[in-house]
Amino acid sequence: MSYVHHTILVVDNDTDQAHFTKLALQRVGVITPVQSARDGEEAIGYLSGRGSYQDRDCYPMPVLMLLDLKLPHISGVGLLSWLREQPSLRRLPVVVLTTPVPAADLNRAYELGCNSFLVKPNSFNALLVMMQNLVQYWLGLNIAPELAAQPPAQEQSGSTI
Amino acid sequence: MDMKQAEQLYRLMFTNMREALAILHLDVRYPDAHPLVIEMNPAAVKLCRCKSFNFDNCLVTDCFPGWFEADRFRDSCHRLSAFGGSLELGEVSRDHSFYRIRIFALTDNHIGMVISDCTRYREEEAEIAGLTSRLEKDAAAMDRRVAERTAQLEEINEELDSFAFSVSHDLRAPIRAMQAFAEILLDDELQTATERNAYLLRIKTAAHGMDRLIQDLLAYSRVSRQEITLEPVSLDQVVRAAAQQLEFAAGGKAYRLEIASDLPTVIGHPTVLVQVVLNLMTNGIKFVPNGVVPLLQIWTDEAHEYCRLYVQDNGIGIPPQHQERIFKIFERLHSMESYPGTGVGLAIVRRAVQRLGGRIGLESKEGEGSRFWIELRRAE
Repeated sequence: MSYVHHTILVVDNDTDQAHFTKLALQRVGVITPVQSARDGEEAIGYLSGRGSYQDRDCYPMPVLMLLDLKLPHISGVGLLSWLREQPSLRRLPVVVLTTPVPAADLNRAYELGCNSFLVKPNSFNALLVMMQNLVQYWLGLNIAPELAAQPPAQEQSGSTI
Repeated sequence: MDMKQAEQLYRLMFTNMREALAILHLDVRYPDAHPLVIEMNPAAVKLCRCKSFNFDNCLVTDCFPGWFEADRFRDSCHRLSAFGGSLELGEVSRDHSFYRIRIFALTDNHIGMVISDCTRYREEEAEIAGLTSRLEKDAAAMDRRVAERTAQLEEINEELDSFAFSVSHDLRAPIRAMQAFAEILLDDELQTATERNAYLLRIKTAAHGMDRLIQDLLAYSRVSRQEITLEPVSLDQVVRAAAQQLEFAAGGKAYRLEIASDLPTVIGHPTVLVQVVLNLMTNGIKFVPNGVVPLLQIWTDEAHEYCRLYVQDNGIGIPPQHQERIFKIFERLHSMESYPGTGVGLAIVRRAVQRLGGRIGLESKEGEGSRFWIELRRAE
């Protein structure tokens, strides 16, 4: 099975890890280019379509975000809480894909509405199996929510009732 | 036993008692009549201050001047002789000794009085009271110490917890990378030689990064555990030694260094201080925007007892909300690509300065460079 119109955004500060995730996703049939952001700011830029990210042909809105919690500046948890406050983005499914964290962080991530929580495996083959399951479920079985059509609220002008 | 012998024995007993004994006579017909001493044993005679001791005619207040309040004593005696029983009159102190006095009804008009020396008893009591209060104080101090220690241990435990998480995260990341790259290389024939080369290079980089992290962790542990003997150290020599090592550490990177002359002598430890200053210097020349030549300025500021050593750079600066975070172990504000590092350097510096009994801090604004300072006790 291949997935053609399914953009996934990988947010990971570790370029090697991001590379593995992308590679594994490609191997299990995600044909749409996997997008990536190296930290919280870049992810916010991407999601709100700022700067070069305005070009939604090159940088389409993702249907799923894979989020590492260990990020510089804005933490993964911080990014998650920002996301859930954006009217146009709050429904975006988020799967946390991270290294082991203290229980408090895990619980916090769920409180802030992450949809699933996965721990990065050490082996690439294990990552392949994990990504296989992930895309089958999240891109295949799962029915995605509608995201608001317009890009972020702050960039809209005028008012509606 | 005949009466005579019994009487003799009673008298002997009375005479040899260590307690002072006195027999008082009371004329119960007159409530105003004061009791008179009619008999005393030798122990009582010893205490008696009566100039002209004269049985039958001696007021208790004459024999024991100041011991009793005459009217109250008289009333007590009348009450006893009317109703019987005995009465504790309490304690009296005389010439550093304490006496406890008890009176009791003998006959309708005779009162017995016992005066016992309770000085030793009193001393023991005081000693017991002293010991008890010391015990209570010790117990309270112990409680306080236990509470303090518990709080400390809890803090250390928490620190250890987050330390373990961070170590496992930061050490496992390169392992995971090496393992995954190796697996991809092993499983896959589809790669070009260039790709394979790139993967092997990443494995090497990951191994190198891991080695640096382990070295930094060891340095951190060393500075936490090693025995440090504080001694006067010349900051001039410390900064000079650190500047020399910086040349190696910079690896050919250009920078400028301005060191104020005549830095003072502080209380510290030479090698630890060199490490501290070197870490601050390498930090200072590392975090500069592309194309800017790093400029380090070093000077001191002496207050009454302490001395501050400043290390100022012209780097990217640190926004206020991150200024506390950067001293924590494994905290990195920037991605590996922009400013590589292990996130342990400043944690080493802070721990070292703590071990030297000093303080560390910084003043910085984003984009305007940072000014780190360490504060150490001046050597007289």
